[in-house]
Amino acid sequence: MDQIVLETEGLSKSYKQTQALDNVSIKLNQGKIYGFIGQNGAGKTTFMRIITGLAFPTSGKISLWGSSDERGIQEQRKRIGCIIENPALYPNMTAYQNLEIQRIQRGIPDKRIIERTLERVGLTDTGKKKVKDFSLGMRQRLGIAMALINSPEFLILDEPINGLDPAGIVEVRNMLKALNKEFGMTIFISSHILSELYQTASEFIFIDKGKIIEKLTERELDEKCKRNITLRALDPNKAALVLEEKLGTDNYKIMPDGTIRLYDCLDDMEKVAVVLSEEHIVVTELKMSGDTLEEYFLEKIGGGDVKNS
Amino acid sequence: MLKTLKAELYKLLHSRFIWVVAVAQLAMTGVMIYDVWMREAASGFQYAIHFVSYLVFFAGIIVGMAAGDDFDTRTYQHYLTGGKGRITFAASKLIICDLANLFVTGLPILVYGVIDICNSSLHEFNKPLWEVGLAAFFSIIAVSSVMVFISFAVKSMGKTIIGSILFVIFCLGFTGVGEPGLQLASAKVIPVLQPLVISADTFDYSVPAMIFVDTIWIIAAFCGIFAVFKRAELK
Repeated sequence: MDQIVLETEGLSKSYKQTQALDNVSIKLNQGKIYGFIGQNGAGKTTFMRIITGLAFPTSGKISLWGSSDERGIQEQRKRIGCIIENPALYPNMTAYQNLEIQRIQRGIPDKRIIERTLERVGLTDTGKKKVKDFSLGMRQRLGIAMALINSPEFLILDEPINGLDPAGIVEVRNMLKALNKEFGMTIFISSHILSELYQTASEFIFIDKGKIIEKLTERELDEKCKRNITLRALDPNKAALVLEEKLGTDNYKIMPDGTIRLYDCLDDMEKVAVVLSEEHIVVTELKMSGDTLEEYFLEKIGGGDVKNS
Repeated sequence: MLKTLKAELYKLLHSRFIWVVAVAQLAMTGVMIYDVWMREAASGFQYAIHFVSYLVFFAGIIVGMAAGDDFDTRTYQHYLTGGKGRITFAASKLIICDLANLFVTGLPILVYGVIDICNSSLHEFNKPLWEVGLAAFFSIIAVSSVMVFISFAVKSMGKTIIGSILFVIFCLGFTGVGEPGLQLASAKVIPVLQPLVISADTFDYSVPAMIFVDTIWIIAAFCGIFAVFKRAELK
C-alpha cells in the first residue's frame, strides 16, 4: 500500500468574513502527481500556505508522513520543496548565490548540487547576472531550482509554469514527470493552464469556494469527460473488427452516422492509425473528442473564468 | 540554528549594502569629528562614541536591508517551509543584524581609537577602557535589537528604516525633556542615549547597571518579535 505523504482532516481556514477553506479532507499518496484545480480565490494557495507552515488553520488536522504534532510536522517539512505564489528570490544576488544560500541553510554538504540543479532547470549560463535582471521565465526556473535543491520527496508547486514560453512549459512538464518516475517524488501542482495540468498530473483534485468538490484519477476523469478517439472510416464495420482483433478492445461505440467512438488507447492514437492503415482501412477522420479538463471543470463549478485575467 | 546563521552570514557578506553603510558611517563620523577638531583638541575615540547616538540611524538601514527586505521578497519562506522554526529564524535574524550593526557602528570607534593611540591623544576615561567598550557594545546591541523588532512588526524594508529613524529621533528628544537630572536619568536607561553618557565621562553611572538595562531591552525586543511573528500569517 502506498505511503500517505499528506493527510488533512476537516481543514478549515477563515478570515473575518471569508471562509477560505471549508472542511478540506484529502490524502496524497506517495509517488503520484496531483493536479490541484480551482478558480482564483478558490483556496488553492491558502491550502498550500497552511501545509508549508506559512499560515495556520482555524480548525482541522494535518499530518505529514504520519506526523501530526507541530514539532513533528515542522521536522517533516525538511522533506518538502515548494513554490508558493511567485518564486521568493534574492534580487541582488545571482542564481548561483540564491541556491548557495539554500544549500547552506538546508545543510547540503555537496556544492556540486548547485550546478546540477541549475542544469536541470536550464539556467547554467546566467553567470553574474543578478536575479533582478532576470526575465519572468528565468525567475520561474530559478524558483523551481530552489524548490528542488534539497531533492525533496514532496514537491508543492503553486502555478509553476506562469511566465514560461511553450518550450519551457514542455521542459518543466518533462522534468516533473522524470522526477516522479526516477525518484518517486510526490508532486502537488496547482495551475490555471488546465490543458497542461492534464498532461502532467495523474490525479486531480477540484476545489471551489474553499471546498473540495471532486477527486479523480486520470482514468476516472477520462471516463467522466467521455474522452474518446473519434474516427470515420469508409467501412465502419470492418474498422470495428480490426479494433477488436488487433487492439483487443471492444470498448467502442458505432454511432448512427457511422462514426466510431473508441474509449480505449486514448494515450496512443498513433497506434490506432497505424493498425487501421496496416489493415488497409481507409480513415477519413481521426481525432480526440470529449470534454477537456477545462470544460469538465467549468461544468462542475457552473461556469466562470478559469484563466488568470 | 547554526545552518540558518551561516546562510544569513553568507547573504550579508555577499551584499554590497553592509560595506556601503559601513563606509558611509565611517565617513560621517569622520566629518563630525573633524568639525569638533577644528574647534578644540579632542579625542576621536571619545567623540566616535558620542556620535553613535546621532548616527545610529544607519543601524536602521542595516536592519531594513538584512531583515525587513526578507518580508518584501518573501525569502523567509525558504527557512520556514524548509522545516526551520519561526523562533529559530527570528533569533538568527536578531543575531546577524546585531553583529552587522556592531561592525558598522563599532568600526568608526575602532578606527578613531587607533588614530588616537598613534597620536597619543586617546582620552583617559574615568572608567577602565574595557568597561567603556563593553557599555558601548551593549548599547549598540540593544538599539539594534529594538530595530529588528520593528522590522518583524512592520514586515517591510521601507517601514523598518522609517520606523527605526523615528525611534532614534524619539529617543533623542528625551535629551531636551525636563530638568537636567531627568535628562540624565532617561539617558542612562535609553540605549540610543547611553553613548552620550559614556562619552561625556563626567556623569556618575554604573556600567553593570547600564548593561542590565540594555539586557532588558534586548529581551523585551526578542519577546516582542516572538509575539508578532510566532503565529503571523505570511504570504
